[in-house]
Amino acid sequence: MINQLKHSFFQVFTVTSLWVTLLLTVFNGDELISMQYLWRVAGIAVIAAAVFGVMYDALWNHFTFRPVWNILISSILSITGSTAAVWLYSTEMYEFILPWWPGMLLLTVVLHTIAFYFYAKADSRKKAEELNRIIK
Amino acid sequence: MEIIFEADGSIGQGIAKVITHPAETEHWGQIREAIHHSGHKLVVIHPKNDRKVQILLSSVAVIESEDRMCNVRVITGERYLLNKRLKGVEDSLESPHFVKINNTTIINTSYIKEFSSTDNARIQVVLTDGSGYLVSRFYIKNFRGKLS
Repeated sequence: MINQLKHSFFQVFTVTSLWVTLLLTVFNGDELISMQYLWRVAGIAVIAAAVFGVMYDALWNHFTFRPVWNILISSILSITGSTAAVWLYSTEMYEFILPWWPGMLLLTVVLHTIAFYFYAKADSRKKAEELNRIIK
Repeated sequence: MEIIFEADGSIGQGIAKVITHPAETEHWGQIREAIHHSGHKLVVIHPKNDRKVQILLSSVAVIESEDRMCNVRVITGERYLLNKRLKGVEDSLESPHFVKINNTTIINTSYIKEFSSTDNARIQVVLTDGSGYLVSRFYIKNFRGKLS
């Protein structure tokens, strides 16, 4: 479990670093950046790796919490992580999106409910049927 | 009784085929009993008196992690302690019938009755004694390999 989570952490960390570098190149191609900003890019990659590489993998594949806990944990951590990543990318962008936080939170909870309850329920039923076919 | 051993690649692993003279069919029950009782044994601790006892590995239904030890439940319901971490137990079990189903539980696939989807969108394995355990998605792959 630990090895798999470590592997997905570094996988997401690498992809996010490249993705943010690409975004910066496209939107701020002519600007010079300070060395401190590189640490902000690393920070964004760490947040993405922790949330998308570790948290979702652990909640979906390894833990067997009730859906309500999965929805709460994933909604809170993803909204907090995404907001922090936006702040690290650009403080102006962060100030622009901040008034929209109730809507973002509602959308996050709705999407996580669809994933961790409705989709998970259908997936569990399908997997249980498949395993029952194997043992018969 | 003379015993002859032969290897046959056409039968699955963990299966032994016994061929006897038709006159010996009345002794099949005794032979089955004898083979079952000669199986691997597991040294466990009786929780009431802390004594070490040997139990048949084939009678173990569930092994659950409990701090630095493991809780062993046999199919008849008795519970024992095993002075090992679950990781150590997993590595030392030679039987193909034992499979990990979540981070804290190993079950004996011989006692699986069915799989079901719970009300809470989770997958549960129900054993022949009626007990149910949650299966995490990561270990379903192992199940597919061990059961098919």
